[in-house]
Order: sequence, then structure tokens, then C-alpha cells
Amino acid sequence: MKKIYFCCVMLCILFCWGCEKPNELPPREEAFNDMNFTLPALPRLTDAERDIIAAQKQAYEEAIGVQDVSISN
Amino acid sequence: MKVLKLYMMVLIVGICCSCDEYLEVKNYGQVLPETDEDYATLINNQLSAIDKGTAGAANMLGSFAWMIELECYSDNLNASLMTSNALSYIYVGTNVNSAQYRFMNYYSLIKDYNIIIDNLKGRDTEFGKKILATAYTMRGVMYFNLMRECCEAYEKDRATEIMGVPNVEHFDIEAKPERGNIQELVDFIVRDLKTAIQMNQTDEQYRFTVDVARAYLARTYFWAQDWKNAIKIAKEVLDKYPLVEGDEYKEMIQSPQGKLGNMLFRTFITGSLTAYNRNLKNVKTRPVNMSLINLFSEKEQDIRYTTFFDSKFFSTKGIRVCVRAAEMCLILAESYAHLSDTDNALTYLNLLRSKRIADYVPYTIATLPAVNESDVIKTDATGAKLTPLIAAILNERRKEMFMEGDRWFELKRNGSPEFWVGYNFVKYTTEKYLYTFPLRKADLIANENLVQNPGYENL
Repeated sequence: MKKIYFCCVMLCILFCWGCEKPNELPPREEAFNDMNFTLPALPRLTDAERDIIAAQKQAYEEAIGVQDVSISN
Repeated sequence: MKVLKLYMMVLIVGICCSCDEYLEVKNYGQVLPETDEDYATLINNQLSAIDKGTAGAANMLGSFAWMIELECYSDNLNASLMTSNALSYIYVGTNVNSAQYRFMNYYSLIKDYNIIIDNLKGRDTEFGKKILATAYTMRGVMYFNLMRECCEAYEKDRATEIMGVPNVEHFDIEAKPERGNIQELVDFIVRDLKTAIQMNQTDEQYRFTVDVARAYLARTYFWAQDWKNAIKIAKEVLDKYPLVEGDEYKEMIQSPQGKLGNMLFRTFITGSLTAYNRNLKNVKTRPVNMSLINLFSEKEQDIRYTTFFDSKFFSTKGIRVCVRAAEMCLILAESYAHLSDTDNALTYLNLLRSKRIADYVPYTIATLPAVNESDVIKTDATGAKLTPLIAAILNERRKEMFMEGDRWFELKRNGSPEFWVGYNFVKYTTEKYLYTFPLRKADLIANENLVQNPGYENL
């Protein structure tokens, strides 16, 4: 009878070893919820920067010979 | 007692029997590769996608949609003067969340090459050699792209400090590879491409011929500032694929499909033109930057000036992803310039100009234009201040490779300069860290050995 208990215990130990580090679980599903990058908030253009864009627009209009190209700035 | 023994026996037999097929690989409706033809199918599926130019491997090598995206990220098209937001990529940050998936997608393709390289049986047959050489070339090409996109720009002094990507060369689903340094990655790419070159695969059906492998090897040496080797390999390719000019050049540049002129490789050889034409139309919402237009000082004498733009300076150039001889010529010019061999640098710079500009006047050191201080690029690839010679080569490259997705990587390679555009009263700045795409967040969770690229750690 003792031998049988011994065999059962050995069998259990073997099964446990077979599981190999059962506490190393894969990451929980919630960890994958937020997968996006949030870049820092973007600033508004300053007046000086808008002047630079206006100059670019003017140079472009002069090059193509058309006035009042519609842009969103 | 006997009954208990019997139960134990039955239990053990039961467990063993139930384990019988437990570990066998199941195919779940998919074909598991066994024969060499099966392994070839992995490559053939990717080559078909490249030929169609829209999905899978083509996306990673560069679909026409991806090329437009790259041009929008660069300073070639003026986002501040957009007439509509049909092209929504105002700057590289707009699309950073989808860019992270490129890291994953590259490894999804690399997995197939690794399976082939590890398992192909008929390695000495003619067929086997073709498949193997193609797998080595494609793996080298994908790692080259990973290096350009997901690693910081190469710096000679910091080559063992800058992170590479995991050099995965065997398929192991449980592996958790670490990132090596960028020099190890360069060596890995060179080894793959050299292995492919030794196999001398010349069958055009497999697209990645020995010449394509050579061209990517030249690109790799060039990116890694190994100027001497870049010269050696680029010269071999250019000698075999001399520059074309005139109508032949125009036809090559404008053909939406087909591999013409001195192209060694291109995506989108066949398939519907509907999406292509839609993209071409969308490009006409963002004028070409005047800083590029002004580089064409010879105006109509330059075939590119009359071919690339319409009267409102919207791009009319065909969009393509290809490898062609002109890039090799520019690699030669710049590599010689970095080695202070001015004569040879000018020779190759003038060679390209002679094929593009009617009645052209060759540059000499004395007649090179002065460096434009307002240009976005301020330093060369080594971090040195621009000289008139290097500036002229970079400008020629910007003109020649327009709408081929090259300028974005040129900005990255030459100092990764910060620049901004304005749209809808908001300022969008391409900061230095944005030149390097992030690694996918999910991959960092699944593999704790991976390290995120600088700048993205807390985003």
C-alpha cells in the first residue's frame, strides 16, 4: 500500500514538473488594451510662423502666376 | 489492493493513450510545407503580392500608397499649402500608430524566409538554389528596411551603442530575442546578401536576382558609411545597368507598371490601376515645395522639370518603388566625396546631370553652387557641415529620386533635422525621434527583452 502511495506522489510530482513554471502566465488581456501612442499636444502657430507660411504662399502664387490659392492657415 | 493496482494501471494507460496525438502539429486547414515546392509557395505568395503592389510583402517593400506617405513626411510636398486633406499625412506623427505595425509585419515575412532557409531539403538542386537565394535576398532586404525604419540613423562613432533589431534567423515561436546593436545588424544584412550573391540567382521570375542583392548590398554599405565597399558594389551594378536618358528615361519614370529602362526591381508590375490613379489624383492637393522646384536651375532644359510637375507645380511623376541605376550613380558620387576623392565625385555627379540636362555645363569645384543655408539638411551623414560638393550631390539626389520615397530617409541619414509645417493653425514639428518608427507596443509586452526606441518610452 505504501508503495502505491509513493508511486502516486511521484506521479503528482512528475505532473507538476511537466507544467513547467505554472506561475509564468502570459500577459493579461487588459495589458493589450491601450496599444496607441499619444504624442504630446501640438501648439498653435505663432504670428511669426503664420507670416512664414504666408511668404511661402506668396512665392508659390508668384511662381505659378495665380493669386489667392486657397489654403487652411 | 489488487483493485487499486488495476485502477492505477488503467489510469496510467489512459493518460498515455490520451497523450497519443496531443503533441502532433495540426494544420487547421492550412498546408504545412513538406516538399520543396511547398516551401517555394511561401516565397511565391510574397512575390505575387509584390507584383500586385498593394498588400503583404509589397506594403513592406513599398506600395505606391506607402511611397506617397513617405513623400508627405518629407519636405518634398508642402503640407502648409495643402488645398484639401485628401492626403491626411500632415507629418510623420499623424500616422505613428499604424507605423508601429511595420515592425510586426516585417517579422511576419522574415518568419517565412527563416522556415525556408532552415528546412529546404533540395539545397543543391537548381530549383532549391533559386528558392534559397531568393529567401536570403528577401531576408536581407527586409532587415535593411527594418534598419532604416526602426533603428536610429547609423553613426560610425556610436555603431555599437545604437540599437539594432533582433537578428532572428531561425523560426522559434517561443523565443524572446533581444535587440543587438546596429553594427551587428549591418553585418547580418551583409552576410545574408553576400550569401545570396554567391548563389548567383539570375532567374527574373523570382524578382530578387543577384543584381538586386548587389544593389541592396550597396545601399547597406552606403547607409553604414562603408564608403569603399559601397563604391565597389555600386560600380558593379552601374556598369551592368548604365543610365538611360531622353524618351527612354521618360518612359521608365512615367510607366505606372512594368520594369523598364535600367530598373533592377520594382513593385506593382501588374494589377488594377484604380487605386493607383486615385493616389495620383490625391497628390495634386499638395504642391511641390518651392525649395525643390528652385533646385532645377536649368528649368526646361532639365527633362525632370518638364516631366515631374504640371504648371501649378503639382507632381505628375509616376509613383513607384524601385531600385534603379541612378541611385547607384549617386551612391558613387557621395561615397567618393566622403573619401575626399573630388574628381571621381564630380565625375559621377556630372554623369547623372549629363543624362538629364540638355546642353548641360559640367560642375567643377569652382562652379559648384554655394550651400543654401535655408535648406532643411544642415549636416551630412557623418555630422560634418555641408560642403558645396556634398550639398550638390544631395540636391541632385532629391531631384532624381522625387516621389520614390527616398527623401524621407535622406533627411534621416543626414542629421535627422527637425522641421515644421503648419496646417489649420496648428504647428506640426518633425522631431528627431520621429524619424525612427516605434516598436509595436504589443510586442514589447509579449517580449520583455525588447526595448522601445528613444522618445516613445512614455507615450
